[in-house]
Amino acid sequence: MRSLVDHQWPSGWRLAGVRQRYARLLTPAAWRRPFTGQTQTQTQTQTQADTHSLARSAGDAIGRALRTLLALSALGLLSGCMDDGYDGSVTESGDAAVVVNEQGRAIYQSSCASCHGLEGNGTSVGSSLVACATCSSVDVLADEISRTMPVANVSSCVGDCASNVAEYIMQAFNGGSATVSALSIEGVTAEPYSATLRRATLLMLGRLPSQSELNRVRLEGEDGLSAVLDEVMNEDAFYEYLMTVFNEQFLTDKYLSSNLTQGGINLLDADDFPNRKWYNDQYPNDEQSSLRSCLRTEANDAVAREPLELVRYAAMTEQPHTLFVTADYMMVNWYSQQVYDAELVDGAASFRQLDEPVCAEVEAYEEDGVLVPASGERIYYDPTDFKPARITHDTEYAIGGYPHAGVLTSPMFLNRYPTTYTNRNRHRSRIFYDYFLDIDILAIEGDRPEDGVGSGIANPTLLDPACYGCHQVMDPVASAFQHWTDNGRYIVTGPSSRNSWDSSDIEAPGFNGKTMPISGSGGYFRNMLQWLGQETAADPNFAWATVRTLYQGMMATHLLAAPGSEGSDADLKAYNDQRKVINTIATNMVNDGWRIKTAVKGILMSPYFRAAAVDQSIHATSSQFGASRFLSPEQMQNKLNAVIGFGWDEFRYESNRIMYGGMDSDSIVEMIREPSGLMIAIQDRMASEMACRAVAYDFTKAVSERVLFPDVAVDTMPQDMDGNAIDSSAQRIRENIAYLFWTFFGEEVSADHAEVEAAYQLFEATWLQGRALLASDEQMEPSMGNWLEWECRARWQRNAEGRSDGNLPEEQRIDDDPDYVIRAWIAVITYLMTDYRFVYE
Amino acid sequence: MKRRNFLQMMAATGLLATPFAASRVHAASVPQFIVAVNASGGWDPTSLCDPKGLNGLYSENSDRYEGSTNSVALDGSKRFNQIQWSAIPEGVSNDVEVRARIESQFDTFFTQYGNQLTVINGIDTETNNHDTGSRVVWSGNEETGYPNIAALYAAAVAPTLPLAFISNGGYDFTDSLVARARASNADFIAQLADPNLYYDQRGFIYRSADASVDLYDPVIAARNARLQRQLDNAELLQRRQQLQALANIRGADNNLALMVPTLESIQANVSRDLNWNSNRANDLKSQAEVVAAAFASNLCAGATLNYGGFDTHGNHDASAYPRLGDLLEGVHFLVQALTYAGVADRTTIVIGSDFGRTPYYNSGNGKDHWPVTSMMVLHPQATGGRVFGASGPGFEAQSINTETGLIDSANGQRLTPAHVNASLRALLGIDNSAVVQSYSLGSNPFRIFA
Repeated sequence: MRSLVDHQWPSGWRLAGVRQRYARLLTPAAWRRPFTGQTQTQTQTQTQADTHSLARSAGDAIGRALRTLLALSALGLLSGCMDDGYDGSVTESGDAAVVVNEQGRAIYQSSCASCHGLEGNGTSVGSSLVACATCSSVDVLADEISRTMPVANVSSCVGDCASNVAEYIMQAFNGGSATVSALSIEGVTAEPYSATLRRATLLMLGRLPSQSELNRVRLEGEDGLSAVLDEVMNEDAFYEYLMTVFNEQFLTDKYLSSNLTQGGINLLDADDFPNRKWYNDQYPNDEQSSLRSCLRTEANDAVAREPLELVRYAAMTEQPHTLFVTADYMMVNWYSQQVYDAELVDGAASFRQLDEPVCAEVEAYEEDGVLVPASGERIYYDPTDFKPARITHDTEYAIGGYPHAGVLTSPMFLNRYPTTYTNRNRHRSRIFYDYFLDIDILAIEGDRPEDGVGSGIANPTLLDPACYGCHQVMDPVASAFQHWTDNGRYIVTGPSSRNSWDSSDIEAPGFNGKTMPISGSGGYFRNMLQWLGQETAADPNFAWATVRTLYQGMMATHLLAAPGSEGSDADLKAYNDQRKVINTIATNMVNDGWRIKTAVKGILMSPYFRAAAVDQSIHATSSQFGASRFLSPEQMQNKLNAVIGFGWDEFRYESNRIMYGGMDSDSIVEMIREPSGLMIAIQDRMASEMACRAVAYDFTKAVSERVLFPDVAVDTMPQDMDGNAIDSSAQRIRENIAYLFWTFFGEEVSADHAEVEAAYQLFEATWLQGRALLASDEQMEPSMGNWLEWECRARWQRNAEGRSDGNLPEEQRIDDDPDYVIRAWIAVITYLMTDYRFVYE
Repeated sequence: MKRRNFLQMMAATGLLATPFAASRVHAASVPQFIVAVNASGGWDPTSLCDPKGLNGLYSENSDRYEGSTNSVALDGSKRFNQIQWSAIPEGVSNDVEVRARIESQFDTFFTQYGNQLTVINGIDTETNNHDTGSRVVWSGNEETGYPNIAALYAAAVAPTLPLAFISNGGYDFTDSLVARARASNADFIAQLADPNLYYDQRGFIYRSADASVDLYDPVIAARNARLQRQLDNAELLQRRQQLQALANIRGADNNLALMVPTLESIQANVSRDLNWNSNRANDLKSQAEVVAAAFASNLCAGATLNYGGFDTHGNHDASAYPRLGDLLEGVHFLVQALTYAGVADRTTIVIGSDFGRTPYYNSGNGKDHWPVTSMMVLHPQATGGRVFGASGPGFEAQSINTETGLIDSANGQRLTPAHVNASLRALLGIDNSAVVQSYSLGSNPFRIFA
């Protein structure tokens, strides 16, 4: 191997703006100090001291830095890394027995460790190298280092240098030549498989598991759970859930009609898509028509959902999730195909029609003061039936249609993350790195001019080292978006183009150290984002970022951040444990053909989802095991439907959902998972109302159809009229409570469990109290009476939204409660619905 | 049966209040309040409280207005003591009435509130990134992990209030010190006041109409007893934390009922249209109504208001000045609502934004991101119209004298959001709070509010 002694890296300046948890791969390795050919020991002993020294001197040096940097930049020298005095080393080296590449170690310790930590555990400014996304092999890692490290001078460690460092990282931090693999963690006790299944089906499908599903899991254990999960992930509700998870990051649901009428369609240029409002053209005289209104909503929502539908399509057809960035088509349904005048990829395909109409005009309406009779027209096309299609027609400024590249060319994505004339797609580039690679561009910000005016350097993003460190990473991707305008139109750039692009002050299109081939027959000039999508799909970071998106959506929490200087050994262990698990899930997904369901199942089977208890002596600080989340309003509504049989009508209103911690993907883009007093007050209110409405209603159903009371009748009482205990009745009540503990909480308890007894005591005491009050009715003003409160009576059917949905037949109705049993159950159901285990899952 | 008899019967059945309920925390009166008003997107201080006029300093950067920072000259009459504000350029609108409205908003705000205002100019945010900017301005720290100043204050003085920190958007990170509450639907809040009372006065779920019989208390008692058992037995760290948070909320007073009449009274007596224009800044005014009612009801200690539209990369004048005028109108309305509610004399209002905008116009007649910015603080106490800090003639960050707030190239220091936040903490009296110690901002030599 070539000697590394000749490599000289300067010190003397820093990236003062390095701020956040650090990008996992494109980290600005701290090649801050010259490699002087010192012995390993010398290097080790001096590294930390030098770090502190630099920290003290950095402030003094910063005023000189810009002048110095110009010279350094001209020499092609390296950037440095913010020094906060923490080197990431939290343990003595315990790998004395491990044979390591000494040259790699020397380079690493002198030039990488100050950001990535001596033990590779990362710092506040450098990612962990334990189980990193590109730690699958020495070759992969060396390739990544040679193309991307160090930031601001990526050509300075290539060839043997990169290979040596990569080999050292693999040996020292990743247990040898392969990625550390883990899906289980010592010291974590998992919940029963049946409990995992219940939580999984509630979370993803909004339903409880069927008895046959439960039986299989109880019989076959882990294999049974795995098989049942595979089956349930074929249900429509799962795909809806998957899109919801991705929307929490991409936020393209902003353009749904529920936020703004035609919010998505209005983003499309009328000259590019003259048929975008085809429903208006088709029904020109029917502004008030319910049919036209319905078609408008369906068309708009299909346009708005187009990028997320790609996620669903890949999952549903068992195709690789990489389609998200590589698909050379978009997704349309019958309603949106007409918006785009898109051509189906499968020319022989046709859209599915339903038995019941989706849009219909069956009632007369008033138009300009004139009553218009209903046409009776009905549209049956299934709005959930999306198919691949392409825009092949000319648009106003582009011939030959769109070069689709999955979500990257989606008008919704491009409008959600717009650019400006001066921003030049850099915002899009930042989002691209974050969403698709889990790399935070902000973490590699450079020094900014002290007076805010600028250093006076012309073309600073290319020539000022303070800017270049970030821009050399960001700008190639920004340039790759150049044909896509601020509002997402495709207009190829060029000297005479309406979409001008000055390439003199920005890096050429590329990615990850590679320059995009532009010209020639194999060039990608017109379809730059297709090249970028393919490169993204091949990048190991995309797999990691995909699992991160899933994890955060499913677990309602962020992955653990790298422990900072205050981090303990326990923090570090928690962080590294999680990295190993996430990386294993990502690897398994890729090895399974990029099947996203494999990643979903990996998360569900992981200790982060399944833990019931942990050994505190091993995991002192890890807070993500067995993660439970405050249910979002949508999840709570699903749960209500699953365990009560209908939802809460108040959740129909977006403002109420937002007050309960929900989001609208527009102005409110983050769920609140730590409830305020207000949210708990809402929850209390919900419990009171829902318990009131649900109890008598459930008793109107046949026993086999009840969701609340399969074991008791409306006259099942603990005592007879003379006050004598009826043990069998009391036992049935207890068994019913135990059943509710399972459906409400996922707790499998016996009828003699202490918590069941506590709930039973509430039932019995309330019942006794009520009976006594009824017996002393004349003492009360107003009287207690047998009649239930109006809203608690079972007189109406209930739909999924919680609204009354027609009257119950007279013979089924329950209006009174002469034995006070219903009201006693209302108390118990309220008690259960305000419980921690009901509010959190 | 009367209440006393009922209680006797309850005791017999073992359903009287548990120790959990008995330990209910009764919140003390909040000493002060804070509202952080966020102009989302990065406002232009030179179009508001740090005008530079037709300075012609950037002719190499821009050919618009001869390279000037503003498109309108400084107007000496736009001044209240040390505070100078911008005139309204003609480019804002061809409509004279529109320009007159905005000018009136500016002039009235600064003349009416100038005596209680501290304008802080020349703040160096050290960033031109939206996320970083809003974070550093509202927490004092460019790194993640520090709470918004209003959340930090709420956590320090009244973390268990049901609406301790109301967020209407912007940077509202709390670091889990205090829960965020989004309280926008006043009608729904009214329904929540008593979970036992059916809406629209249509009856009671558990209680007799005269409240002589109440079967809800036993449910609460049983629930709280179980919560305590769950807390005692929780094995997972996160679940313990969640259970404790739930116990804290359930253990605190939840007097949402108090807020409803106050809110209705504010809505009835503080006219949106008369303060100052009809159908202007209604979003902001609506947020202000709820916050004022929550403060007056002792339910909330800190809040954010949020108003967007300041990211004016194109057609700056036509976009920015109307938004700034409406922002000032919204703050005025907030003061009126707070005054009516009787808490204005205990409320500090801080107005700020992500960063500033370039001191010259781009080719699209817009302004791009710029790290230098201003903040404005409306005190209950008189300031006399004070300005602390300054930017250079070309809107550059400057070294500032720590005592006088004037430019001091020899001995001054750069004024940053960390200094402003540290000063606000001291102003609010939480700088020595135990909660605040975990979020050090370093030494603060500046005497901004001296």
